[in-house]
Amino acid sequence: MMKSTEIFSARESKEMEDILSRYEASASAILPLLHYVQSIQGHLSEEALTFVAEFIGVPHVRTFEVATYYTMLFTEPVGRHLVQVCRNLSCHVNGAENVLEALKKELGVDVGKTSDDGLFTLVEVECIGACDHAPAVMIDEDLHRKVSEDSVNRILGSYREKV
Amino acid sequence: MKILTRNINRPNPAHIDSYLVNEGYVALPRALNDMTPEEVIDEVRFSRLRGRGGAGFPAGMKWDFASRDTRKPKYIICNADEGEPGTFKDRVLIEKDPHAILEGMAIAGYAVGAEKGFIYIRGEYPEGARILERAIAQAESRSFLGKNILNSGFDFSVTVHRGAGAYICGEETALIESLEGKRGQSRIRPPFPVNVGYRNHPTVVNNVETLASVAPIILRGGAWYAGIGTVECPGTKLYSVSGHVVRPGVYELPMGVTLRELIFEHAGGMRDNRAFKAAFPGGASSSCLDESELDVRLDFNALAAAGSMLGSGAVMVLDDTTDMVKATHVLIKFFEHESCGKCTPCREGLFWIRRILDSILDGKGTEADLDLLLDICDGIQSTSFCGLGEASVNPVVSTIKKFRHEYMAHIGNRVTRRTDVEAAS
Repeated sequence: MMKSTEIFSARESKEMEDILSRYEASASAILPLLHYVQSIQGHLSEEALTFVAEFIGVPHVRTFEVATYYTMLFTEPVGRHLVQVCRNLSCHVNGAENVLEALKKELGVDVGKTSDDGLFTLVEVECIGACDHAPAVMIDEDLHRKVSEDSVNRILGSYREKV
Repeated sequence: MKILTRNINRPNPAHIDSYLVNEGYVALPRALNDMTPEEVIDEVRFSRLRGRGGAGFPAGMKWDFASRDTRKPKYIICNADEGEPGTFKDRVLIEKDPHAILEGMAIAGYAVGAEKGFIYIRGEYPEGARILERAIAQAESRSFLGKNILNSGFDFSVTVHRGAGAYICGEETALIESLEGKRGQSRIRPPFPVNVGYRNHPTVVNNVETLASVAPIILRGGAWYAGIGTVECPGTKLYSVSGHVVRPGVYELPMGVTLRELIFEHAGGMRDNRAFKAAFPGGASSSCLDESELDVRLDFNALAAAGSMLGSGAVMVLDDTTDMVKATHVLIKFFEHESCGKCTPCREGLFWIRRILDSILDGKGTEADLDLLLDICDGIQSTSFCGLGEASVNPVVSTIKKFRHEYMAHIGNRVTRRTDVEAAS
């Protein structure tokens, strides 16, 4: 088994212990731990999934089956920022398709792909509960409301500056 | 009438001090000190509060079932996995009045004999999760949650658990599977979660809006609440209105408002003065209503009688520029993506429905495709394992019934195109 100190800092290991301690049934900590590891490493590598399973004390398959089931968990590397475009009905009738086309053009990628600079991965998502501000785009954990083809550039720019 | 939204326009509404101003955490000590658990359940039964997540099951009855099961421990789960397309009402309560949810959960815990609660919040609401965690810490610091709440001897703690983008986890048994660290796939019912839920123990799963209704019911009494709305569907309802309206948003209204009043008196009417064409009154899984149905009341019973459903109260309004076949395609792509894959009719059937709709939109459809679609829908509806599959076909069946001419227009394109090709060759 890989020692937690080899891939995680002392602070990160402590945080993982804290997460595990919140649950009487340790398997319930699988999803929160995978969220946490992904927030540090960007995606869930085979190594990370094995580590989390052994950390909790469940068979490896338990973390693998969870990681491959949920839309928000990634088993392959993604760009530094995840651009999530809502494609459901309320956004659709408010121009989500145009926003998606503008994002594809601006990033030079298709849905599911990562821009050449490795900064952005473009994905379509189902309703993100922002129908009152359609069309909505979520970048990482930030919700962008009433996005238009014209505002796409400015929004992406604010993330480029963060680098 | 503002019951659920009474606090959302206060400054810093999510803070415990804002909640305390308006009788916040008054119902909890009243329940703990002046009422037995049975009396609390009776009050909720008298209110005839029905579950706001979509099924409309009487909340008091659910609590009663769980309280009668003697096995311990028991659990209260707040279903905050708000994922039905068009729904964003729970987000408002979570972000603007988290303590109303926590107070409702603690009262529920006392009523059924549970000491542990979870809030399963959808992964797409990271800000909501942070707000809830702060609210829990504030409530613990004032002894409204934790050990020996307000010296009553009652313990109740709450943990926030984030989902990861699976719509099916809004279904209570799939939610429980997910909370147990598994793939979120529905369980067979019965047994119901009230007896065999989280870790196979008695578990009450209530929607955010249901739980937020509890403290006002305990404060003012079940009879007061039962007098609001309609006889069979009492109380106020949070309607999420979106689409082609002037003012999309969440509106709290007595249950049973008509679609016409909701759109034209509250949501500002149709945008750009366009004409109303259709609405999905209960999110993606409801049957659409057309112009002749604008006076249908938006409650559980009236919508069921109209062949649709209230669901979570997600009203998606469409004007006369909308292509109903494209709209249906959008909704079916959603269900195809969200089908958990456990049962064949839902997994395969939705794939084929989407393929047929692709072909109709590409101008390659035939009129026989419509019969085929209805046949597949019938198969999915009658044989799916859980409610996702059962309800997923409603948009297809209802749009073919009410907007068949729009399908025929796409199908007609094919005839035109083929004739063009033939003429050219």
